[in-house]
Amino acid sequence: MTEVRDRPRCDRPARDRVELHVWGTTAVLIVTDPAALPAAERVLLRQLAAVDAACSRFRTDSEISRLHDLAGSPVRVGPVLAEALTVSLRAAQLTNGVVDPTVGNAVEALGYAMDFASLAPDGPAPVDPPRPAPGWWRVGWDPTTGEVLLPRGVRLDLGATAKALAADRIAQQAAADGGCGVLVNLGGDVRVAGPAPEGGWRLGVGDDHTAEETDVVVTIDAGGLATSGTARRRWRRGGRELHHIVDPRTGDVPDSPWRTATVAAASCVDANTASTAAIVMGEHAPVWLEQCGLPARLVDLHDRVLTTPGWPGEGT
Amino acid sequence: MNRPEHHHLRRRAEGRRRVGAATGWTAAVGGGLAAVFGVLLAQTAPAASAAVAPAASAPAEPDLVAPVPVPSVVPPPLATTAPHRTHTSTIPLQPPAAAPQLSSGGRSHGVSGAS
Repeated sequence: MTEVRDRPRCDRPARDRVELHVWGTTAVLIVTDPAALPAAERVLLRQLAAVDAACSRFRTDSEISRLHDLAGSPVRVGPVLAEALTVSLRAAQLTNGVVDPTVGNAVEALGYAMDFASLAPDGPAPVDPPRPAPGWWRVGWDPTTGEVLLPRGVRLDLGATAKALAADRIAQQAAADGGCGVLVNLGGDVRVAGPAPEGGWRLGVGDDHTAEETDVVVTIDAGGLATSGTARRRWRRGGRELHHIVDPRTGDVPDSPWRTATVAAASCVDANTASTAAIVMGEHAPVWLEQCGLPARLVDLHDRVLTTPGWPGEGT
Repeated sequence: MNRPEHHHLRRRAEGRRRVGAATGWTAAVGGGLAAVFGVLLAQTAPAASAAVAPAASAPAEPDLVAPVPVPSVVPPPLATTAPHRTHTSTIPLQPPAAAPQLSSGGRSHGVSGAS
């Protein structure tokens, strides 16, 4: 009897993935060894909580909110916010400020001042015209001491890099702990680590990370793949369509020819930095991506696809 | 005192008065310019490396305008070790170890799209 009762349980495929809702999107973790899933899930939950507590501008008790409150005075920050700041300032430096963490006020002025799930889909026009971001170079940051000095009035938004950083941290730690292959997908920001499954990790690429059908399916064995686009996190203010990607140079949504930009890189942070920058850079993006040596796929507003060297199969 | 000596002393006194007047005007103009520049500089947003002095003990305010300092007062030395902007890592964006390949089929492990 015992054997009969146990047999179906043994035949059932072992669970190899965890999926949950977080930060207004989905988080998926997959392991190549199901035995490693419980430990990997703990890493996922712990890292998501740590990044949220450090970087969420929607939480009054987050470390970044405290930093905003103490703007004008040097503040010593914890290791997670320290890494997130370092990553965001590096992204700003490498993109000449096109991806800039000091867009907090600009993003909020456009209406994105609360968790997206709570954001009204429509509303009146912003009171003030868009203003350029103050500039990442105003942020005083000493990584050796962990002290940051935010000028008064400057608010940070680490959304362009913090989610990708979380994906990197989770995948690397879970793979190291479990000794297996791990894929982490935080709302389309993907990082894989450890030995890949046979044939590689298969990833659909499209406008929307929740879509059933995708434009193309690629495989990667290592590194990160990220897609930025204007298809999601949209809202209306004063009859105008807005979205979450802001051009720091204007403080407004960019007038980009690209609807979607997908980039492969050694890490998810680098992939997402480049994909976000590509949307903001507009027509200059293909040349810049090629100079960076990053395989990328850009889709314009008329559904035309442009790829950079290293991206498979599709014409330029 | 004879007449030439008296004349000489009068001229010297007159010269001192003129120099004094000129020096006074120069000091006054200089002070005024210092005040104007002080106000103008105070109205610009402080650079990250210089923003500590007025802000170290000031309450947080919702704008970028630093408090207007008294022009004639030299700012005191910083009481704290202020974090000045340090160049963060300038390691370029890193390409993947291997370029993505087109999938030959099979169920996807996930989707990369906007979120």
